[in-house]
Amino acid sequence: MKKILVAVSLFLFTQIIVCQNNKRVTIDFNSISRIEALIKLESSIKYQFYFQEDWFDDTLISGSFKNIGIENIINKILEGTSINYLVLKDRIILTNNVAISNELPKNFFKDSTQTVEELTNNKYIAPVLQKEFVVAKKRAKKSLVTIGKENKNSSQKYFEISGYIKDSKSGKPIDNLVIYIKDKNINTVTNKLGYFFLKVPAGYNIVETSSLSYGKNEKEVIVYGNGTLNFSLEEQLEQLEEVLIESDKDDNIRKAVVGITKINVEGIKTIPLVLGERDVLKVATTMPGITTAGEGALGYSVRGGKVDQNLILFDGAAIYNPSHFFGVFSAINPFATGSVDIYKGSIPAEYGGRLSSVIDISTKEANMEKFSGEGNIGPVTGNLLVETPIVKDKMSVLAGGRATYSDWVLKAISEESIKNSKANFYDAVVKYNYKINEKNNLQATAYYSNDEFSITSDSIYNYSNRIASIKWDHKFDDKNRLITQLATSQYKFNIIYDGIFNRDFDFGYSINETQLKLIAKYLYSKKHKFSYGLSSKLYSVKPGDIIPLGSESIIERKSVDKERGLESALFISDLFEVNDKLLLDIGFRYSFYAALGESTQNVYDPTAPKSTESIIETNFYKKNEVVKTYGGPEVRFSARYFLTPNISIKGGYNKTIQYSHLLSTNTTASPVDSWKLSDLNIEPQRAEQFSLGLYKNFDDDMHEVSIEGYYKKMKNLLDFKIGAELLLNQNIETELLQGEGKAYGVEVLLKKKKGRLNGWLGYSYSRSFVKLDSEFLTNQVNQGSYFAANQDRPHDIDLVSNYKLTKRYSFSLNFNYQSGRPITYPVGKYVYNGKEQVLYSDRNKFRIPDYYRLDLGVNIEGNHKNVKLAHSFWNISVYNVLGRNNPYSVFFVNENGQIKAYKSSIFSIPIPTITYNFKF
Amino acid sequence: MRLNKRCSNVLFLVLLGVFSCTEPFTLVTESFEDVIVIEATITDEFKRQEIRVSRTFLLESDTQVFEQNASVRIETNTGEVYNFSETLNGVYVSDIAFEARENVLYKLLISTSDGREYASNEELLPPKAEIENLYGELVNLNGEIGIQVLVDSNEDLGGANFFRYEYEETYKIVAPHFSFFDALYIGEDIVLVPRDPSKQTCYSTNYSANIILTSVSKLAENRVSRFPIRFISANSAIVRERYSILVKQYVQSVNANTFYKILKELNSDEEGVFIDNQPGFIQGNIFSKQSQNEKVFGFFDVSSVSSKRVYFDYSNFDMNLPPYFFDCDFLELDSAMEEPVNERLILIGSFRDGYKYVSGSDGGVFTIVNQECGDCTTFSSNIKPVFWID
Repeated sequence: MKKILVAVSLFLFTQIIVCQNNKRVTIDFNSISRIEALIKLESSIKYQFYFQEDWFDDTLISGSFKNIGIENIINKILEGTSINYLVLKDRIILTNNVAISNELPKNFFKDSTQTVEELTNNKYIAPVLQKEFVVAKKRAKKSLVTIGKENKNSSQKYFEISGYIKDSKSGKPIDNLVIYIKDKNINTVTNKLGYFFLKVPAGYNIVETSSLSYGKNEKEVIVYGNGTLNFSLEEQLEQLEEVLIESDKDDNIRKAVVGITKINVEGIKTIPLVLGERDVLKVATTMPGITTAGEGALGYSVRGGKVDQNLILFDGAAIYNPSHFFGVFSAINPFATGSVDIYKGSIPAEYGGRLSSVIDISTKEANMEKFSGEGNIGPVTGNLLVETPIVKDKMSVLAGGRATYSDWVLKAISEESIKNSKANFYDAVVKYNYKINEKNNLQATAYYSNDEFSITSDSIYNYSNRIASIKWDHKFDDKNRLITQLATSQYKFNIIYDGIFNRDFDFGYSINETQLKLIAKYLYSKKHKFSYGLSSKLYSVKPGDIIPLGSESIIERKSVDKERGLESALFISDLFEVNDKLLLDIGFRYSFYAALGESTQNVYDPTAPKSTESIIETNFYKKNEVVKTYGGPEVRFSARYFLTPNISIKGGYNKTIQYSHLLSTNTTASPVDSWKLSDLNIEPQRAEQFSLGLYKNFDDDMHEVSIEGYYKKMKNLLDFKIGAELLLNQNIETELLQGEGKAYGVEVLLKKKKGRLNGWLGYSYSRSFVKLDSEFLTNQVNQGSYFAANQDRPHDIDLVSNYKLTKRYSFSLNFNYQSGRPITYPVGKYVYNGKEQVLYSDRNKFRIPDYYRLDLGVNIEGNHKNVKLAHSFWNISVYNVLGRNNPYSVFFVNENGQIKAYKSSIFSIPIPTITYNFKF
Repeated sequence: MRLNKRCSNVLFLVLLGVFSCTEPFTLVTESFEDVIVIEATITDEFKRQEIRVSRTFLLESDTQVFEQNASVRIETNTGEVYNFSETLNGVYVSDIAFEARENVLYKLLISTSDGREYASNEELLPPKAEIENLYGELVNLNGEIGIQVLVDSNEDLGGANFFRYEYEETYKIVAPHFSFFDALYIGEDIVLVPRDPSKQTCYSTNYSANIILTSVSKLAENRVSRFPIRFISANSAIVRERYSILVKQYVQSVNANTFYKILKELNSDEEGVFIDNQPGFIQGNIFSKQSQNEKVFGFFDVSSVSSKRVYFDYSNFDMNLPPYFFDCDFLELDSAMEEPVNERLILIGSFRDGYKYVSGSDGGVFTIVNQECGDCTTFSSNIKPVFWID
């Protein structure tokens, strides 16, 4: 290594720069680096070269020179670099970027404090001087980078910098990374390959990159000319490991969409959860606006909506019941999940069919490079996921499975009542990725989940989800893309009753849907980005058939007519960037639904309540004959406006229509609730939502604060008369009450995304009301006035936090508080049929006690040795540390003629769990 | 088709079973609603029909509140009016005996002493269906052995669809350690006096407390067959001697069936911890004339009834003699012993506590037993029911 050239003041040399050297040499270079070339030259001419090794890259050069002047040779060697040189007798001093001037700039002594911008505004473009360099050097904590070779004759004010940004570990390019010049309104983002291009003023600049996962990085540069500036960024792993965060770090203030929650799946592993089951959807419920009815409740209520109003997509296919064992566990394999986006405010126009939200779950892309896997062993389940390339960098497959091993535990117990009960579940997912070429991408997913449980020895319940989807992404050119997606899903359940009397039966229900969707994306210009397409979905429902079991059974074989419906939609949206501050997302969807035959439908006398007595006529429809059509425009509009670079305000209006409905007479959903399509007598549900929010990021986007408000109006919500019989009921409309709803609320979220202590604190105040009114007394609830809906839980506070003690140890703490859900409570009792009975209040007049829970966890990473079989991770957690007995339901039972009140809770004591996770 | 609601039964796995829990709590009325409760079933039996009128009362109270001095009558579309008069405890009995007849519309009218008026919808008598068989069978019900009482209706239901059952069971009790003598402590002596022999044999009667419903609308056969009414555990003392059950089968209208079905569901424990049925007010067919929004609880039910009685005991089935109602606790005390323990004093004290004489005489060793084992009248009645056939 050569002596390091110290950046001494070049003025010293100005006197002697005249010495030209015309020495001639003969020399050959054959695929050697520039440094080697210089050394070779040095040894042949016996001159001393001064340079810094790291100015040079590894480019190899070749050349053959015969009796050529050394300056020409040096020029040739340095060609394509930003290095200048100066020959001083037998010493050759190389300088990076700086051309050594042999005269002082004209205004050198006038004003030495001039800024770069002022300089560039002068007519005479002064060379960037060492003085400025030194000043900058003093300011900078990090090293100063020089870009470009100064051209003595240039008077350019701006130069072009391009570069490549990669991940320092994986070496992969980082796309979509924001790069900007500090304090100058100049910015860009990297393209798919990690390249960027910026026009920057000459002179001193601070170039910054900013992203969620890589944090903020800055480089101070002196720009002498066109050049390259590469970044190699280190991923800020601690942040990804511990906390789920909304993706790109300033998305929350930048994007137009209002009311979106993103879950970083990788980040949830340290959050303590019950029985060690990592659960992306349960983490979603710690975000404001998303709740469940309790630990053992199915489904999610988003912004005061009902549980059937969420479109849960798994790689584009609807999943009807993503839970195991009554919602205690989610059926989504956490290892296979790549991302979860929840749209609770403005829903993109491409989605439709459900009122409240879209929960879009995508599985991750299978590893294209090497065989890898991940798994865990908890007290209830074992889970394993493996990924492998089939053709490296082109085709890969991922397969994951999870199953309970609880049955053997149950069987090991001698207690008779436990022996008779059983429960098990499993789910499996397979994903296939194929990068056909630059323009075509194919992916296919298959998923199956199954639950079986039996609580009494005479009945077995079973339910399953089956999903398959295939997606082809075709790029026509840089501006046009088409995504074609075919998805099918099925949900079914079965009840087998095998008692001792002659009433054994097998009851089955299933719903199938198949959807074809075409989405085209057209990047018309920087200002307009269009997305348009169409989708069509065919439903087929078998509402129930009952089969007698055994020859003794006197149960009649019966099946309710199959239902079919076609739900189609056209949609278009434009992401319109009006100016730097205002961004509009204008979406329009027209959905159309047709209930199809073959079918039998009753027409009821409108002057009487619907009942078997008020049927005027019964219509029969042939196969594929249209029974009834519904439809309507659905406007999806949202806008963002930057008040300051860090504060934005967003607003949205969203309209949705839902043509399929969950039938339930329970206050909380159950796996044996069935879905029904709109028909002659059941109108689609409709909703409109207005939302408005204010978002602010500060401390380099490390902290995020947002406040969002919404108001929602709903129509034709489904409810039922007390004690309605829904299974095997051919005339469900006689039990049905359709009413109005309204919901409103405010959601506040405070997030700390980096640092040793990170996490978030969310609060929401939300209300949800229903009105079931009718001119007929029997169809009124609470005298036809508004009452609190089952999912109305005004206050909800969530704290999720993680503290990293060392690289290996971290601690987590969760706290959750929720107002109790409304219930209908006795307001007196009476004697009837010789027994005490209770008289119930108006619906939902009371509330069960408030819910609160504290969870603690310790996470221990395996050691960080490089060479080992698998990377391991232990999670020790205690769920419900306070042992709070949170009542889940309250009910009243007549025992020996006396009314007894009971409350049941699911996890009423602290539950410790140890889970072992491994990755290879 | 509902899930069972019991802590122990919800065992998903041992862990979960421990975690989920159902516990009782004391009911307190947070806001009381005073509502009239009308229980009115008239049948096709020729008798003085009964209608009960009461009011709701506080959840924590044990005292029922009756509606007194109300005027109760039933009117028909054929012009008959049956007036009812108040007897005890809110029971109003028709002044004359009558039976409900087919093709006649009946309507209940009540006006209370505070001037409020209530009227029911008009109801028709449904078709009549007989009970053909009533029998017991030894079964294993979810692991428990016992006698299941089953009912079959006749084949020709004549359009009857919905059935409600009530039963009345009577069983004979024989005190297992009955003696013809009682020991009395007179002066300083223990003397034996004859005991009333009728205290050896008693009869107790229980009434069905649950609403038992079935229908033939979902069955392949157009009859009720092998419908379970009452399960008696093999350990139950009621089948030790002789057991009799009278089952009444009411045929009711679809609306009455819906009313009773909801009432049954809302007050039964046949739900899961995870499934919580929506409760609410059950609207019957009786309404207030003054205010449509006033809650009126009750159903005016006109139904046809048939009944059947059956007798059996444990020996009719392949089972062992069940244990007696009470454990028999024998004491042997020496009336002559005064040291170190004064057994004579203990003996005298035990007689005072109700222990019954089994054997022995003064100066010797007495065998005595707790009173339920020696005298059945201590917990039952020795009056033989008029219908009883041994």
